[in-house]
Amino acid sequence: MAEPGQEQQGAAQPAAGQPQELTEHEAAIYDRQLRVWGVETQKRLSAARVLIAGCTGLAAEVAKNIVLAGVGSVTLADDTPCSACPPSNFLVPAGAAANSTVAEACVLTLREMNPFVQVSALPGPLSAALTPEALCRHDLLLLCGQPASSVAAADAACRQAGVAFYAGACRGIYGWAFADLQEHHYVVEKKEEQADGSASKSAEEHSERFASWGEALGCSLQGVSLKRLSKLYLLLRAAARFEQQHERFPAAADAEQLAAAWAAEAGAAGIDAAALPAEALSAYASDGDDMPAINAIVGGVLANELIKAVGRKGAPINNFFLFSLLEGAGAVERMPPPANLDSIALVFASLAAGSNMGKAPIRLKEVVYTLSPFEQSVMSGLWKDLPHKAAHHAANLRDAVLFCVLPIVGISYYCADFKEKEKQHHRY
Amino acid sequence: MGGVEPLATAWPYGATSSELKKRVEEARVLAVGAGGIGCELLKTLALSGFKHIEVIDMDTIETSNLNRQFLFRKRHVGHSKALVAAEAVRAMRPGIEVKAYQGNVKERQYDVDFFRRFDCVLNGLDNLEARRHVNRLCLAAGVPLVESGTAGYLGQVSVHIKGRTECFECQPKPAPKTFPVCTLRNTPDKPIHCVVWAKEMLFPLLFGAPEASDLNDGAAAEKEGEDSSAAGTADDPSFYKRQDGESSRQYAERVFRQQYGAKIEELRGMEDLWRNRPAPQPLDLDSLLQQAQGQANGSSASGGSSTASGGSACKALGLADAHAVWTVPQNAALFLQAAQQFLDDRPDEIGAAQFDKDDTLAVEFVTAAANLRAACYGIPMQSLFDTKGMAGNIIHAIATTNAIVSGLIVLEALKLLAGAPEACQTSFLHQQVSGSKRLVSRMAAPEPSPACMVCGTASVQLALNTNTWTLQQLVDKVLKGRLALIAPSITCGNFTYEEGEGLEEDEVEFYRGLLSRPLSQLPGGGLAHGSMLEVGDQEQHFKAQLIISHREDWDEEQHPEGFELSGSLPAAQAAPPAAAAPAAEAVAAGEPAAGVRGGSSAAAAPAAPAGKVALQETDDGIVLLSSDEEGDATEAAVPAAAAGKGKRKAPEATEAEDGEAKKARVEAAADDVVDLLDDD
Repeated sequence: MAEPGQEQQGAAQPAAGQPQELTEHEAAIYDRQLRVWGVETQKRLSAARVLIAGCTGLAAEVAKNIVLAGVGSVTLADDTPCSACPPSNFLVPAGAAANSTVAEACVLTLREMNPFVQVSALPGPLSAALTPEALCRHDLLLLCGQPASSVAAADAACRQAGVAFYAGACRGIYGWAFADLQEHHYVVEKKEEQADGSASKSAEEHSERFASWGEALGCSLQGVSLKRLSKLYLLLRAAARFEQQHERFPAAADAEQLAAAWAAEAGAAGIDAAALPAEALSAYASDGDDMPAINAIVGGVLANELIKAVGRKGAPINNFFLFSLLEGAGAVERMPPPANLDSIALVFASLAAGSNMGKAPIRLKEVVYTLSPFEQSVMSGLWKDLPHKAAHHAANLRDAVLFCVLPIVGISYYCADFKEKEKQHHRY
Repeated sequence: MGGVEPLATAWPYGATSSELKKRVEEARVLAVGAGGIGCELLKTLALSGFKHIEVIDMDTIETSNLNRQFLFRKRHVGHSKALVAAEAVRAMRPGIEVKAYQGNVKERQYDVDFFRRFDCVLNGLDNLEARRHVNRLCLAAGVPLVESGTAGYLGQVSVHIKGRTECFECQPKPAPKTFPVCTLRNTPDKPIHCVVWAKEMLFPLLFGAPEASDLNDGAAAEKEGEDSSAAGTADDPSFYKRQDGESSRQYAERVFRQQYGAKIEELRGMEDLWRNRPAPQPLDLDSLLQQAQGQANGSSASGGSSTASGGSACKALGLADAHAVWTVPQNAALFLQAAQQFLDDRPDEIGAAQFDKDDTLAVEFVTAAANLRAACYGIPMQSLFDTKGMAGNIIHAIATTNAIVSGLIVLEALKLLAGAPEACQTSFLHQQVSGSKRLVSRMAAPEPSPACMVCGTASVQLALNTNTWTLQQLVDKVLKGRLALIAPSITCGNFTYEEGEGLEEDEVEFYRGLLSRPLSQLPGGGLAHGSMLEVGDQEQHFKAQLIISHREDWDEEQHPEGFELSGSLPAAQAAPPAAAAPAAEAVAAGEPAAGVRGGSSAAAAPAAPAGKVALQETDDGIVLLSSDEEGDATEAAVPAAAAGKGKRKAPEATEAEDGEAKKARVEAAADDVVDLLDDD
């Protein structure tokens, strides 16, 4: 097991700086994934430094995925003794020394999994990971299995340190992930197939703003279609209210208080409290354990997002991934909804209210996208295939000349000629 | 196991109940495959509390597995996947009973009785043939099957319960992609044509068993077509024997001059071929070598350096970047170097070598050979990395997708154990969210199709030329190749044909004698237009009716294999025509098809005219592709990917709440079924 001093070092000097070329051995091991995301992303990945706080089953999934993928360094923070390890953390072997911490036990397994990755444990409690000194040595923090109060604090710390922030937790039949990359620039690669079978690549640059945890859970829900909104998002708002207050997850005994928190949340947001079934709330309170299957799903999605974020390639999830067995599906929600939609919806709501129509605000998504010339290239076809168009017009012109102009010109010429001849005839 | 009692607390809230926990502990599950999905699945099963797990896999561990099959370490390379994975899971959670079988699930010992012991079967397979086999056995044993597949970022999980949901084969599976021989041999126009030519034709000709090469087999003579016979390319195999005293270098140069010089010249002479396409240009070896020498700046490109090997000809030549596209002279030098090294360093294999995507030298040779051919025909050349992908039919694979899919599989298994089959669903993992905001979307598991030839009663129409087709071809190409039978039997009136164990010596001898006969001249009057065959496989408990229709004129471009198989509904039932038509189409051999190409699928333009055809072939020669409805080859034909483009709404539209479910099902049927593969 690494000494604390070593660990500091390990975290302090991961493969920072310029991305290195891949060695032959790395190329052999990473062959299949290089075919998915390319050499460039792989190089960026191998320069990235990731900090994971909270070694839950979900954290184990993410750590496994990014270590296999070949991230530069991974640092784990969690001083829970192995004897109290969550059973879903498969990185801690059954025979792990009882006096070592969960983080230390995970490090050993992860190192073996991919020797190219520097894996170390951050000494001290989980909160040590949230200090500016720890954050500034990393590019990204992932906080796992913590109540909303801790998530809010960690997000604030990351915003201050300019570090990308991810959080996630799985409880009972629910699992969620949250992303706050602040301002994120990335490219989207487009591959176009040529007629001769070769491919040409073009990269488009994009940027995206992310909301903080507080904004994401405290935003107005006006104009948001509740039918299309994941129930888990509503549940998270209620839970956040409870957890912010008590600084812990609700337990089975807190079911009533959680219900009360939901009632308050629903009232404040102006939505019907029946939007969230009572069983859904009590399931969140009573099932403290995670389901390994949901860990695998949310952990896979989170790892994909981490790789996208450090590779700066591909559109990231902004900003929730919500998986629940209520829906049997995993939804992506952006909260608060994009500003323009929000404000226009508000305008319409006030208009509707002003004209006393009393109708629900019209969902404007489609309208906005059709109106905005920035959203679509309206006349992209104008210059396309120009020679062909010119030829086409010329062909049309020829027909026009042949059948319209020529007869008229011919007749008038004939008439003029006839007149002239007649004149000449009369003259002589 | 239709008779599982529902839990006291219904799904989904019962998912964490102690009642379900107990059932999980007692359940016996079979994981088929211990590869990409398999490793993740075993882990998730163990963590979820399963105590009786059996796993079967025939493969051994390879270096390129280590980036995602996390139960394996470098020291395990070469060991059995099933055994190592089982050991790793036992170490992870002692007290779990994991039984490993290193073997092929298609072997006889894994019969219906074997399958019957399980509460459910979970598939993490990498080829269509094995999937169909497991599907049939599960149907016969009445055991529910959870099927899965991944490719790049895309994944899919479906549940197949006999009599309740559709079986794996209710949706027609796209036919394997094949290329017309004459295109490969005479008129390639895509990089893949050159790669397949180099791998399937040239490589066996030089290093493998010459009869394995199509370059000079009887196929050319058999097809009395314009191109192929005219091409006259039936090489004299003796040409490719090394002559006495000929050095490997001289031999390689002789082959080079023949393939890229003389034969291209010969092809140029056939003016019919080049009326609508540019004629190929022969390559001059001497000038290329001079250029190569100039480029290599006096390094070892001149040959005679085969000792500098280490197995790689690229290394000897200093071609380091596998992602770069090398110049023609470089490829020429590599061609000679690789051929030379192969002949000098591995003399034992000559005459029996087979292409293997993990054989560095073989990949290098194929890259060079394919690129040189591409250069002749003015086709863009490819990097070693890309050629390896094409020649090895490598499926893109990452750990995350496999992990997500393993979670989805276990959720379905839990539903089955919870007695909630009505909650079972088909899940799709998308690369990008679309309008429905779902990254993981669901569709209620469709009902069985009465038109299915496996679990239903439908018959299959087979069109072929009964005068030229032999029984052997029927058995190999159609019954084994397409219907995935292992020991087929045929009955038609007085005529019977059987294979497999339990036959008398003389019976075997008798049936073997029939194999070479044309179908129309078989005993019992022969098979002709309208003959109805009962085909079956006793071990798979499979039976289907095959109706022959005789057809003589075959367009080689459209149906390179010379037959067409279509699932036919009884006329009265042909209710959803949308579902039936593509069904027929998709099975037609040679349908332009698009593979699942993970990395770029979502970004791909919706319609890439004459796009690249991506082969997704697995190690045992099955190609799984999703063929596109419109018939033009686009990159991503997976609903999962296509949904992102708003082209296919099936998974989305089927959130199963609305009454749209039915419509969506038809759509889903009209769409190709997703055939995602696990990698190995």
